Amino acid sequence: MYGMVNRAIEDLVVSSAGVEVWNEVRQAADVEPDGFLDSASYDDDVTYRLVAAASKVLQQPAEDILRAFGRHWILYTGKEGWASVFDLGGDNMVDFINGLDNMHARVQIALPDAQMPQFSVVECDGYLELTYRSIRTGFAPMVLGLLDGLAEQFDESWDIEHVVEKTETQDDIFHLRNSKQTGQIDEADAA
Amino acid sequence: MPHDALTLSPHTVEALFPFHFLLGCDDEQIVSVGLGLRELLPEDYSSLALDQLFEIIRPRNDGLTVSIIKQHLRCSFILKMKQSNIMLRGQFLVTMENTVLFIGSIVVSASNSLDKYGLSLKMFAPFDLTPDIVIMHKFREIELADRQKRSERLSEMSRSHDELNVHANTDELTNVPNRRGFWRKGESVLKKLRGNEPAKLLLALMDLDNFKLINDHFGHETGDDVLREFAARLAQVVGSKGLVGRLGGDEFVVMTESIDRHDLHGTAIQILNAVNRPFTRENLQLPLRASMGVVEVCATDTMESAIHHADVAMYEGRANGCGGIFWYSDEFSKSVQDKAEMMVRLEKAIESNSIEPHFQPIIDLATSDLVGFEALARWNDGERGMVRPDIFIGLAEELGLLIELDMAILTKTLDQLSLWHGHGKMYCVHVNVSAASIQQTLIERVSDELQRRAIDPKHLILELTETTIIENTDLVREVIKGLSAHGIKVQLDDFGTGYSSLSHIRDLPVSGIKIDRSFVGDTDGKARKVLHSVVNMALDLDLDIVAEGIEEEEQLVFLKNIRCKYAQGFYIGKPGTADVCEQLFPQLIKLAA
Ligand code: HEM
Repeated sequence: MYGMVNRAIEDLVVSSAGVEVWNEVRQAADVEPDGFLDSASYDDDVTYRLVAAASKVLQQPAEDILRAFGRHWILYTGKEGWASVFDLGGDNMVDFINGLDNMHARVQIALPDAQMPQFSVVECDGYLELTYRSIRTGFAPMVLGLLDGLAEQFDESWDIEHVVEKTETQDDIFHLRNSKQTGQIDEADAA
Repeated sequence: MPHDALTLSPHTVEALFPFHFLLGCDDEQIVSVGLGLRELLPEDYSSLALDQLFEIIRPRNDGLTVSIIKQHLRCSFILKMKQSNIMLRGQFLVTMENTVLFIGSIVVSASNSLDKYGLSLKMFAPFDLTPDIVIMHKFREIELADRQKRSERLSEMSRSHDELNVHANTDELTNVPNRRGFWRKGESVLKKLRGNEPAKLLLALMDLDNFKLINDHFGHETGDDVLREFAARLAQVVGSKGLVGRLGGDEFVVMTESIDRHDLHGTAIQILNAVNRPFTRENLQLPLRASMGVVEVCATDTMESAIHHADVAMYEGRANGCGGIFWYSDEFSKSVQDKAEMMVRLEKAIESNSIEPHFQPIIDLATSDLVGFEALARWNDGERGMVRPDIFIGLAEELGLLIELDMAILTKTLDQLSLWHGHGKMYCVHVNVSAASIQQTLIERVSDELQRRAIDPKHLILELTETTIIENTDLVREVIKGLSAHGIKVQLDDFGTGYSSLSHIRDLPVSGIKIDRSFVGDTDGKARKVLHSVVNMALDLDLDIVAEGIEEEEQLVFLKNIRCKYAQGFYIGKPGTADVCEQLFPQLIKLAA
């Protein structure tokens, strides 16, 4: 995984628990103190070790760490560091989700070493069905966090459910249901 | 339908060309526009004429009318939007419905590549590179930041490496290179020397003769100040053409260039003079005195050999008295080398018990009877033959092997004595004991050796020099007392050469004295009187008295006349192995008769 992913984990730990804790996590994960280079490709194992170490040090399940990490990436790291690219995704949840695959496909051109995830969206009756396909396992909680973050970012309210878990023959599937748009005033309220 | 006709549904056109627009051929009004373009056009675009919306950049100088478009169907058009600087590039097609379709995309130039006018991914055709350029640009930015980070990291590393290096190579107290630092720098100077033979290089190793004293008396702070001053003076005197280092403690080293050998000497003197000025601080003035071992470094030298040679010169020089410059030379080095080798052989000889006692006869002057022998250590150093006792005894002292040497001679002598006694020859033996051997344990050791051989202690006389006594009078007194309690006699050797001999005779329970050869040899009237009174004194005190160094008949006769009891000397018999001296003795004694 590219260094920026690992660095985003660092960013999350530092901003939520401080540098000391990050150093602890780093050491537990057996990672050099030099810090990650965003543009360098690291072994996936580094990412897994970081998540495991953070889970141990912060005493939280790995899934929670990944979910928090996904949300943090969207709301802080990505939003700040990647604004120009982020904006390309659109200014609302539906556009962004629909463009997710296109985005990763285009990023792939810039990062030939990346193993990009693949997303497909089907608009169903009252909800969006998002299929997430990856060569990696275990990042579904991060997708949940990323989606949480997107909804928050666009100030929209979505119920997100991880309905199918990845197996050897099956990809992860999420259902996204728009519950209420926080930005809108309820008709009842307006009256 | 023409055979090359292609049918695209509006939906497909919309998906593939978000920047298309459709133009009616007759009214030249826009019929519809793609998703992307709509975002950029004014809201009332449908009511505006084409040339109110776009300016034509290409084809050059042609207006934007349907007829002109139709003339240039195979050309690339570049249109600039009137209200903004956004440009579109594409081509016009004529459709079956008699409309003109523009398909194209926005033009992204390097300067405004990031300006995507609020458009999102879905407004770009899959083949439109604008989003890719935005993404690539972002990654480029990241790469540059990483490169910056990397080079910062590298320079940080090399900086801390440099700092570490400086730290590891510098003496904290004096700020001159430490041993490591000096070694390194010196090595590169040597390398240069190898390519530049004629220059003379001097290496001087020095320490302060009185540094310990200064430290002890004036405290470490003053000591440290002295060291700092020492280093500063050296640095000043060698300047930029030299190198100063602190090897440890008060030991400093200097390496400096000179023009010729003469200059080399001058430089050495300059260095010493700089160091030897008194150290002044407030109302304190301390004289500084350094000893300096100096070597002319040659191209074949290594740092190791140069420092070693200077070290040898300094220590050997110091052994001959403190202060000053000691040059290392080849002969000097040879003698040092020889000495070192001899020490190795001596150590082996002592270990293998191959140092032998030789025996010199002692006679009773009144009867001319052979009463005994003095055992004298003799070492036959295979390579160099017999080595003078003063030399090898000195070396044994340096080796810390005096006790072993004493005991080896004692036991061998007692072996011989018990042989003699076995043959009914009831001789006495005199054995020398060095200061090192004067310890409480000596009493037991000696009496053990006697008992083991069933020798009556009265046949053993241990000889101590006056110097030995001076060094530790109390201990010596205890040991002599202990020895006499066991019936072992102790005599004062070299009597008359040393200190206040009389008090020793009075205070120590010695059984006798041995008058030094210098008294015997001096035939001058006064000397003879002294000799006479010493003999008388001994007689009065009931001490045995042996005169040594008898080389002439006249001396023997004189001593006999003044009633000296015993004598020994070349005239009576040279030291030799037990058999030889016994054989020779009868002839010699005849001479004396
Ligand atoms: C500006 C927006 C985004 C950019 C530039 C971006 C870029 C990337 C990059 C570079 C990777 C690393 C792939 C590798 O190193 O092999 C990655 C991984 C990933 N991205 Fe995104 N991403 C973005 C938004 C999102 C969003 C909104 C989601 C939400 C679902 C998402 C889901 C993932 C997942 C799950 C991975 C993990 C890799 C895997 O599953 O194999 N990304 N992304």
